[in-house]
Amino acid sequence: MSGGRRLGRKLLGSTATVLFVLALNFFLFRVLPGDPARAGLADPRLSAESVAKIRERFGLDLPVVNGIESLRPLRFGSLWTDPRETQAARYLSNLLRGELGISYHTNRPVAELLGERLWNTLLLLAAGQLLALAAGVALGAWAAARSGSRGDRLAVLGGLTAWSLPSFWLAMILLFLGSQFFGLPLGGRATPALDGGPLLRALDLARHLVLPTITLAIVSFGEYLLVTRSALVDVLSSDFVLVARAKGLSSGEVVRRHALPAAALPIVTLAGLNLGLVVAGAVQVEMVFSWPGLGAAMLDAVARRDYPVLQGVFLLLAVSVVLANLAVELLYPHLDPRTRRS
Amino acid sequence: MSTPTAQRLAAERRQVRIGAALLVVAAVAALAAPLLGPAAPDRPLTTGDVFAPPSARHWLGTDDAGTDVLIELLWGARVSLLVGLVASVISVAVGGGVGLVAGFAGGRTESLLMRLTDVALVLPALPLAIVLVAVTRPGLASLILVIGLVTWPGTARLVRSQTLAVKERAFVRRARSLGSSETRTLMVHVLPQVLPLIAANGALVVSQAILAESTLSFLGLGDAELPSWGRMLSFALARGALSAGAWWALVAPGAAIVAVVLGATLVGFGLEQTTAAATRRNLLAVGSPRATHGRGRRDAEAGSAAAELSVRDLTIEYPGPAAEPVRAVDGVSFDLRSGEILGLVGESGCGKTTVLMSLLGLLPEGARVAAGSIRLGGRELVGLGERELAAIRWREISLVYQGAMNALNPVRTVGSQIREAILRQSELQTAELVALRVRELLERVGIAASRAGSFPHELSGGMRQRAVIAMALACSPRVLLADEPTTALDVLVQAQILDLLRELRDELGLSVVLVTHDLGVVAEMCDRVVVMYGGTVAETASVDDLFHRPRHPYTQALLAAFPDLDRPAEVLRTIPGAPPRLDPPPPGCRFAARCALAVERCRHEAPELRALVPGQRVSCHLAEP
Amino acid sequence: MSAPLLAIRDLVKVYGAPGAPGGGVRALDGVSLRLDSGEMVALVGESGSGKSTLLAVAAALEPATAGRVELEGRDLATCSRSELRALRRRVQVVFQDPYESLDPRQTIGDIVAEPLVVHGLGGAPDERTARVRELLAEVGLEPPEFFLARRPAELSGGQRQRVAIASALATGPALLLADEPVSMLDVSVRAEILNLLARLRRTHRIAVLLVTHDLATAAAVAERVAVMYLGRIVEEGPTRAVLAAPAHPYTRALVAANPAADPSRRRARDETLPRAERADAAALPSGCRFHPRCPRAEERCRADEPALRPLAPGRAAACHFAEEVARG
Repeated sequence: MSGGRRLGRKLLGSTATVLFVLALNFFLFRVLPGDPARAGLADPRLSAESVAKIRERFGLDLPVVNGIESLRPLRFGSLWTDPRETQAARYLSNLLRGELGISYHTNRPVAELLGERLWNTLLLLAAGQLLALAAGVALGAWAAARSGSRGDRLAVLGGLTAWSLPSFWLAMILLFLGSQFFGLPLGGRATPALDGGPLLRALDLARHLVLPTITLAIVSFGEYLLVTRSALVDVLSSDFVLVARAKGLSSGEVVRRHALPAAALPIVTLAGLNLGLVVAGAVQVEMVFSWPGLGAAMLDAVARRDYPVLQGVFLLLAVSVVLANLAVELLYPHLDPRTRRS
Repeated sequence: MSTPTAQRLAAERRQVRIGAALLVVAAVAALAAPLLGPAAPDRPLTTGDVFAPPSARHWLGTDDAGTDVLIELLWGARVSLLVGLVASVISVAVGGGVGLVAGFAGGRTESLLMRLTDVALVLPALPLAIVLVAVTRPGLASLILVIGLVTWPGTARLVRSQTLAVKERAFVRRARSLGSSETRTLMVHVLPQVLPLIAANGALVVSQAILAESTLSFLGLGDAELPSWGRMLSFALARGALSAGAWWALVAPGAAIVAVVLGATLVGFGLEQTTAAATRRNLLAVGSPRATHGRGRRDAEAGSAAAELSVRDLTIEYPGPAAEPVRAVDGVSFDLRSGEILGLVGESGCGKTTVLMSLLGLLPEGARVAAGSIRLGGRELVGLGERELAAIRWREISLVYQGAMNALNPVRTVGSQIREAILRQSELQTAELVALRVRELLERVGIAASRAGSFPHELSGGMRQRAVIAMALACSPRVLLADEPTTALDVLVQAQILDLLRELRDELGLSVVLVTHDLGVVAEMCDRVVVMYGGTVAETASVDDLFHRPRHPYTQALLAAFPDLDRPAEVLRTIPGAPPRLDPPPPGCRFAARCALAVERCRHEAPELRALVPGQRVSCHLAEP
Repeated sequence: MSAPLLAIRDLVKVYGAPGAPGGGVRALDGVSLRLDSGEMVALVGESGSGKSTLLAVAAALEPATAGRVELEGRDLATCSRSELRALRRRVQVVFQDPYESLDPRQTIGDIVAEPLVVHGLGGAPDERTARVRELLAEVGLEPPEFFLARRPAELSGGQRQRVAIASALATGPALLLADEPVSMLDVSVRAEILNLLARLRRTHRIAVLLVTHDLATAAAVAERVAVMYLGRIVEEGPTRAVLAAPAHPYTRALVAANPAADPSRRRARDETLPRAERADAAALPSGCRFHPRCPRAEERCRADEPALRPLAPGRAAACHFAEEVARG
């Protein structure tokens, strides 16, 4: 299969997944208990008229999809209604326009709210993952090179323990220690009412980033360590490793120049499968450190029953993970020349 | 003495036992909860004792409402363990079932199931769980279902790839060919191989499930009525344990979660490792064998001055499963003369590969040279450290390994690997000179220079072997070691490669040690031959003497067993029995148990390798000149 | 002439999607072969020749793309599932890898008894065990009691292969398909297995189709040999005759390249060996498939694919110049 065809197939697969996510997203929130209009509004004293007006505004008076009037309670309807006058159609057309709905709580567009939050989450993840990757791969390689030794067993135990730590708990511990003994901030992204130039603000941001980043790094590090070690132990039983040693290369040179490149594909594959874990960690860390990111937005939305926001965050997160997976899969041919031609 | 593999397995089993112990402790604690006190809210509140530190009355202190942390912890254990176990049972049942069916059935069923699994796998677990729990009625049942729903795809994927791997194995094909029905084959042959993996994965799912439960409870999405570790931590955060400095309210529940999750993880990880390939050799850890100090050359006979390589009384041991070490090589002596091709022949287990690797100082971990000497160009190799050996490797003595398989790194180009070999020369070289040499080497072995940028899988088996030879010549070594260079190649390609090796020897004046089990190759290529059996040298002779006047009974038997195309009418003779164990080796002649001519003396007294006629040495009591 | 035990006619097997460029890999491109009761025929070829594929199709492990495979007169393609199962009692397979072809979790007793269990033969369990003992003794694993409870890991390669043969004999087959049965064994052990196969053939009148890449193995035990190249049989005939005077340049090259266990008969280096590497089964050459490597190739060879034509009773070769080639 040529590169172009393979790319096409992957894109098709990812698109199918995204469509599934959209459908899931759509139907899930139509199966809500109670009337979303009433549930989402703060004021129970609204008149029936006002409620009807609001329902119309949010498009909740339209049939869900051709043939289904509503999902809760389940009521079937006519199959011959205009497909454009359904909630599904509204939803899709809004999406295409980049509109993710209006928050029940703030009445602002969801997309606007999430836009700010997205960058915060990305910032948090970038630093943490890079650190975790570097440390995890290095230590995993070190352990694999001396597999079976005490050092290896200790490293594996360390990795397993890190993997077993609940992110939110680690966050709390580090928050406790950091604020008590190191004077690091108790949460948030910036010190309120900070007066100063961009340099000062950047430093302040860095101070606020330290603890959440370390937390995320520790949690992901275990995964990278174990995955790297397992892939390398496999590779180190290959004949070309023996030949490399016969060439007079030292252990370190063999690992760097031969073993790691050969293990790159399995490492990336295994790490890629666990992108969801990264997101899970981010959600918990944002909560504990009050970091204004997507995860925090999601949890707020759950608490407030702000379903449009919840829907929007889930969509954004799911699509991001799908795209990240796609990006990883597109890397394969560059990592292992054997995958270039099927 | 135990092998590294045995030690590794023992360590893994220990890991599993420790993990299991942690889980058992948790289970016992959970069951013991009612004994120490009722659950909240039935528990009496000790108001005024809010955030009390650990004391005799409250071993782990109290929390924000004054309730005893320890009792709360024990009740919380019930919830966590229950959710963890039930959710993982659901997950493994669904995932395992899907994976098995998909892997075994194949075709459209597999594609459909896998597409479903892949989509489910990509969805980020925690956000999905949050959404699902938010949308359904909060409670223990929905929590369990949601966790089960979110974790099954991982198991499915794992089980499917394992099932696929097992399905390809020869014994499954054999079952099919016998007429075994698909169902029976699945149950009798495939499932037992996949079950250990399912068990290992199941333990890991338990740990994921417990983590998920505590996370969701912490986020306020669990059952608000039931005590759980996550909920305890949620209150600790929300109700100011941090600022009150009440570290016990923070540490105790978290430590409990970590302990149980780690326990399940250790069990799962340990099980996974034990099911992995039992013999995983670490080829990085080969190197200079630990030589015993003070043991020098036992044999008074000096190595031949004209010899490129001179081995005397080489004895190599390594730890084995029995108490005694395996003596893989025992008193081996031979010379490699300049410009000759010396064959090192024997069947599997005779020690020829160990001897070859010792010439490069590449013995596996734990191996040691118990006695003997190896002289390369007059220089003693036994006892040299890694650094000194590394300086000699490839420059003076290089290796042609079986290139058809894995001797070349599949993710690097052929050219880059040859370049790496060239750069082992100590002289600084410019990029142009190196590139020139790469071209030169490739063309010398009959590969178009343009293939330097190709990857090994893009070359045919024969070309790969040529590339391996080119690589071995990079530093113009004096000695070339070839380990079964044509096994796994088709006979026509083999003929070409052998021709090439002979040409190179003639042209470059190489001295070659050729290890093989194929007597035909020996007859075709070698000038002199060393026949090994059970770690010792049975016979050394010129190729002519060996084939026409073999003196050792083993050599004679081997020749009789080798089919000859030109004389197909002759009945092939066999050698009954099997090679001896070498831990420890038998006291007398290694071949005595299978030798038709053996007498009493042969069983007690090991024969010396002595010269019968000039140029031919035999280690047999009964051999006559 | 009595009906052949195994009759393969114009068998074609293509792997890969039909829509793929080139139409997929033609592992078998029109193979016809016949095996009579009690005959031992060797199918010789290098990797990529299609010999293992032929065996797999004959064993009904893979379906044919075109052509017929008839076992005792029954066309495999028209058999129902149960008929196919019944046919499997008549033809059994011995696989190449003695270390992988036996289930490591089963005992030797179970392995040998499995065909009996699967087909419901042998009667009560103790009757079956008695039969298993008989079979083990027959293949030379004595005393049988010792081996019954052992597992494959405790046996040597040669012993495992004997177990595989014992198991294959359990249902009293008329045909044994052996896929490289000795290539993974030490030389001194190979003879045991080959001799065993030859003996069983004589005592039980079992026909054997022996697939091998090693001419010498074929020469040692088979009375007829068929040489395959890129999915076709290029030469066929009595083993001695074919090896003494090969009528196809490829066979000639194989014989020449085979190293003799005698240094005085070393191959002269310039002896005409095929040039270049073997072509890919996915991109077959035009005309005679051997022509790019053939030292005697002419214009005609590039254009015209030679058919497998008879040269003498029982001998056939697919070369335009077969008679000349046979003369040397």
